[in-house]
Amino acid sequence: MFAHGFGSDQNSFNAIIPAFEKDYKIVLFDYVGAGESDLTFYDEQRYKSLEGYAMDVIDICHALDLRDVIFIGHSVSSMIGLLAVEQAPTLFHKLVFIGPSPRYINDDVYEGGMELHDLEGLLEVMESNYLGWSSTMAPAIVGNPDRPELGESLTATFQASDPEIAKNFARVTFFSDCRAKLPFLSVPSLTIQGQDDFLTSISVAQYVQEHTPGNQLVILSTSGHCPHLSDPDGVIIAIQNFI
Amino acid sequence: MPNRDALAQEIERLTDAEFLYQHSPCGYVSFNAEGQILRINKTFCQWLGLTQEDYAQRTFASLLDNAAALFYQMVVMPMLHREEEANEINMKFGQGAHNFDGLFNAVAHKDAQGVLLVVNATVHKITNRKKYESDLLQAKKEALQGKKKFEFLSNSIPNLIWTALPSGEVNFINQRLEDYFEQDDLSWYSNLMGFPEAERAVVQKAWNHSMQTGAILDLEATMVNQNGDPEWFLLRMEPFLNEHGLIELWIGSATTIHKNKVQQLAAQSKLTKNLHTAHQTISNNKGLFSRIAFNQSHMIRKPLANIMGLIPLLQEELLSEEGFFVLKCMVESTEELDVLIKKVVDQTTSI
Repeated sequence: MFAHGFGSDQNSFNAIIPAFEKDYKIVLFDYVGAGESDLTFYDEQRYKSLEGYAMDVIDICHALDLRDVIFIGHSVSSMIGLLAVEQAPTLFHKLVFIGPSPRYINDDVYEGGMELHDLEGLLEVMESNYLGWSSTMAPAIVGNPDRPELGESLTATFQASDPEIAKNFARVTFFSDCRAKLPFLSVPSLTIQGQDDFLTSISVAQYVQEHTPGNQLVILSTSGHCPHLSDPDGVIIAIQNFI
Repeated sequence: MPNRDALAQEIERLTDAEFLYQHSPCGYVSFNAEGQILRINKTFCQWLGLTQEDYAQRTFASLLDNAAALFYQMVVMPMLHREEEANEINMKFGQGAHNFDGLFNAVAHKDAQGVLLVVNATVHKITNRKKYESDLLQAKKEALQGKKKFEFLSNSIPNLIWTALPSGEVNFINQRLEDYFEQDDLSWYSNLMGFPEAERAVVQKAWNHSMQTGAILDLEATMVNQNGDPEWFLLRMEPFLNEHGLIELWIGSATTIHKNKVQQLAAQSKLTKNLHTAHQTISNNKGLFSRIAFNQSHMIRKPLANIMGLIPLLQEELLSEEGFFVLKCMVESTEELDVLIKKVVDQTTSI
């Protein structure tokens, strides 16, 4: 099961999916508020913490009657996977974290990489870009260039209701703190970290490895926060070696 | 002629592709799939306060401020891997005195397998436009805040509240109104479905009159709650005028008057009943009154007739001046008394 990160959708795994299709059943999904999800299912109460998103992961497992799930989560989905295992440990076999962070904001003894004002700045950038972002993304999501009107209608939907969802997801993501949960992860896990990641540094990946029983760390030479995009082969090999 | 040649050469230099690239009124930057800067023009370097050599080992994200870099990593970069282009993305570039708002446009070039090779991007300075946009955004936020305040206020008072457009279309209901009818479809309210069918036309007429004339709607009407019970409300709807004096919105409220109205109706009913009883009593006693009046008048008339019969006898007597005056007063008084008795009898018989 592949779970996308904040600001993205299931299409972000397109480059690595083919490597696993032959041997595994592939499950892809969009969180509510992302990709082609039905925005009417957005529940502010449920999604006020990452636990709500973890419940979605478990619901998908139950709906598809999945067992021995290998959960591959990018960015915030790494910790969503961690919480899903905590809630339903018997469903999962292994976890793969791509660019994980148990806490993004710095505190006195921990360096997550972000300050509070960075988060406020990010929300401002999102706000000022919302229209441009959605109008660029929507046609790709629909994936039907012969019928641009589908994209237009989706863009209209996004413009009407998505900014608040995206901002709430950003707040939930960047205010989350899963550090205390790491020592209790009951399944083997792998951390894949890019060399030069502005959002989650190698020190954060090392923190995850040190505090999570049975966690392996693979550092790729690629830069950026999306190694599955910038170095899909490196990510594929790391995952294949682990699973 | 030499001047002309020199001019031509200068024009050629100024329009040469390399000159255009380096000195265009926009920033040019190219970077690879990992964000490593491959090439950058002089304009962009000047804006950022650095030399072209400074960028040899830098990534595109490092040109951005922290918040924009986060946005780039999470949203823009995945988009460039997935799409052919990215358009009109607003991000802040540079640090300190060289920090500026830019508009980022990019084309993503890929190989035959769709793997990203190079991103060629332009950056336009939009500092002034951004200030104006910020003002607009602030105004939008304030408007949104005002709307939220109104909704909060409308939910905190014990009235049912709604707003309607000048066309009469209801465009907002408070939580109390939604709970009262258990109905969240605004068109249901526009069609006045909360009023009993028999009374809807009356309300509709008053509603239409207000919409057409701008007059305040003031109406007592019943509405049927979700249990099917009719309840009395005082409806009031006032127009909110915009800066041009035109109606922008109708703000309506329904205040419950059910208890008072029921008491008022009960009192009215009791009064009507009492008047009816009184009328019946009067009607029933009409004959009795007539008989009493007739008998009483007869009993008074008899001595009066005697007095009136004796007066002519006295008139034949030789009376003093004083006696004559007294007799004249007696005559006038007996005549007045006779007229009065006749009137009483007439009025009693006409009841």
